[in-house]
Amino acid sequence: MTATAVPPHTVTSRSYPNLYKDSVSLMTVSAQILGVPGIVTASVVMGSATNVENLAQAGLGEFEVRPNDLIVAVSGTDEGCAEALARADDLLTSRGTSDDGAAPAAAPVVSLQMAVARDPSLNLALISVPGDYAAAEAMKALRLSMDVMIFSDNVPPEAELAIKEYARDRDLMVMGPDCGTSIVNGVPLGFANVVRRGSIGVVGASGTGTQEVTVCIHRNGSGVSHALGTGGHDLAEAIGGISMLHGLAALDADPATDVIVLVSKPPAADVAAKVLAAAEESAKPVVVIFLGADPVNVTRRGVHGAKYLAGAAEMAVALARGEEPRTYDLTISNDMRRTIRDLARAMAPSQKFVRGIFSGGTFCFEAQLIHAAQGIVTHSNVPIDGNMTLADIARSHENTIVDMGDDEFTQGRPHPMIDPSLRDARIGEEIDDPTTAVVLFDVVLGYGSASDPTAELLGVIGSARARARADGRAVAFVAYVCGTDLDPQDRASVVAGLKSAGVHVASSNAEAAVWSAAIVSELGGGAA
Amino acid sequence: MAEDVVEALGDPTALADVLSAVVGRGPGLTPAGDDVLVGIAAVVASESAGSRGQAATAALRHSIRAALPGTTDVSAHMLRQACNGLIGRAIHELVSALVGSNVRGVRDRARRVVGIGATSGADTCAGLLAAAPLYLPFAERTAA
Repeated sequence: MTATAVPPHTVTSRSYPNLYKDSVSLMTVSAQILGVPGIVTASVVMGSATNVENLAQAGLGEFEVRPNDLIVAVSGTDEGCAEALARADDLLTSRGTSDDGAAPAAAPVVSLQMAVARDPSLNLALISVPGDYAAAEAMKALRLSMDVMIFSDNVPPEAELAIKEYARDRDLMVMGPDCGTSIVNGVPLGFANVVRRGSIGVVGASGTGTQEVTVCIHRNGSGVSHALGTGGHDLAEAIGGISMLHGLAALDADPATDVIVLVSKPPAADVAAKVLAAAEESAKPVVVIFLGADPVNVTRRGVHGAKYLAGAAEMAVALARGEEPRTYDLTISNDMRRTIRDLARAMAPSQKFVRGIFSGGTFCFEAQLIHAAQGIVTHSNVPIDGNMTLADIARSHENTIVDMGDDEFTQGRPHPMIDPSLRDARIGEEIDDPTTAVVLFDVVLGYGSASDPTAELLGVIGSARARARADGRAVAFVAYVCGTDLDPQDRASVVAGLKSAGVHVASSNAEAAVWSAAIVSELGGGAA
Repeated sequence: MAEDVVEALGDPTALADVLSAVVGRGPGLTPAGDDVLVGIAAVVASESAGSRGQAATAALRHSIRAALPGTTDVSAHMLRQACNGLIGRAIHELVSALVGSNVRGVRDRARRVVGIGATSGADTCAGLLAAAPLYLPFAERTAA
């Protein structure tokens, strides 16, 4: 840095009050002006007390500056110094990129505000941060007039209410907290399947429920305008269904939507009444599935109650085609009846029970309902009314149907849809249990889910089944694959793989549960 | 310069002198001297540095106050945070790797720290390495 006198020798400098440039830019400027012909010394530093002292000692000038000021000081020939200061000024005050690529790249977007500043057309924020922060981030997004999807759970109810009331007053949508699935303008968000676009809009309080309805709409040849998740707590009394009512109104006003489907586990009574009244007001036909509620109590003018998720989809497709919706037919075909009888006959006397191992919470719920309708009481970590709470979630007891995607199973673990290894291991354990008659499970495809969700499972089933056979037992396998031919995973090959492993693959979650319940009934199980 | 600070940590008068020469010194938005101090703070404020480390952190926190007006606002804030044990994740992870004598971890994490800013990361490493032998308990290791 010291100038070994090369006369003629000038010292010039310039200071920039309160100019902050990151160190990389400062180094760049420094290197550039040192390269100017005739320059002997160049210093580009912040005006801190020590730096000012050093500059004075180095003979680069006396400065009356504050620490936040930037100093450029150079020594060398007259022309060199003038050129260097001009060059530095250029680099320090230029905005945007320079064509030599030396200017620093644009700062990465680290806040919603930065994102909107860069692209004002952004109008939806997807929030996935720990619950404590999710509410605050959601408020930031709403203040920027963005709709919000909150994937995160564990947002306190008061915060959820505050966010949703704020959004409602500004005609904005809050999907979540705990919203796992949405499809907005054809874009899948969270755990969502790739479905055709079409005229059926969905508002869903349950993630896998929404996945099943959209998948079945696609498979029945129709398509989805939007699927808006509300999060699992929206229809609780404390929140009052604010998001579902908003979603319903939005789809009612949406010219691309002809039919609306509402999906939820049974809401609080007051909330159900409010939602159904709004559905009746809608100018468009509305299919309502409140899982576990009698469709008759839901049905009213322009509102069609459905009992099963797949049935709701079928009704919506019929309505979209201008046809009369029919009740979903779950009658078991004669072929399947024979198969079920054969399966039951091949079982050892110890084999009596269903073991339902689910990754989708709503699938677990629907399967319990269908078994209960056949008089089969099950144990679960998330029991429906009338079922029993499992004493130890790690061990099945008699008839058991568990949701491995529930919090107790996912503490510190990825959800089984993302990493199915715990689910696979559990299925292996069930096959080894001499009292297991049927293993019932779901495989959920789509964005968010594992890229090859049955990769390990087929091996687990193969080896456990060989052990069971050596033990004189033949376990029945029933599964449903929730997904479409457009999903990132290859649905056809997942189904083919399961079938070749001896799994009976149903066309809906409800059908799989009906088959499973039939096998247990055939064994004289049920009322254990 | 890093060694001078580390040596002075036990002597308030010497520490104040050294800090007045180091704080705000050198190139960068966070001047190099300040980055060195962050590296030292990261070591002495780490849990592994124990009660000696706590005493050194308290001394640093106390003596640095007088020097902070001499540096940039950004850097003063960074130093105040560092003296309260709040340091960047990459730096924290490097300290943990040093304590664990995890050679590969140290290499990877040091690379990450060196990548911070233009020279800030390397300056931080200089401070960290000056303080580490005196304050971190290293696991006994046989020579390779």
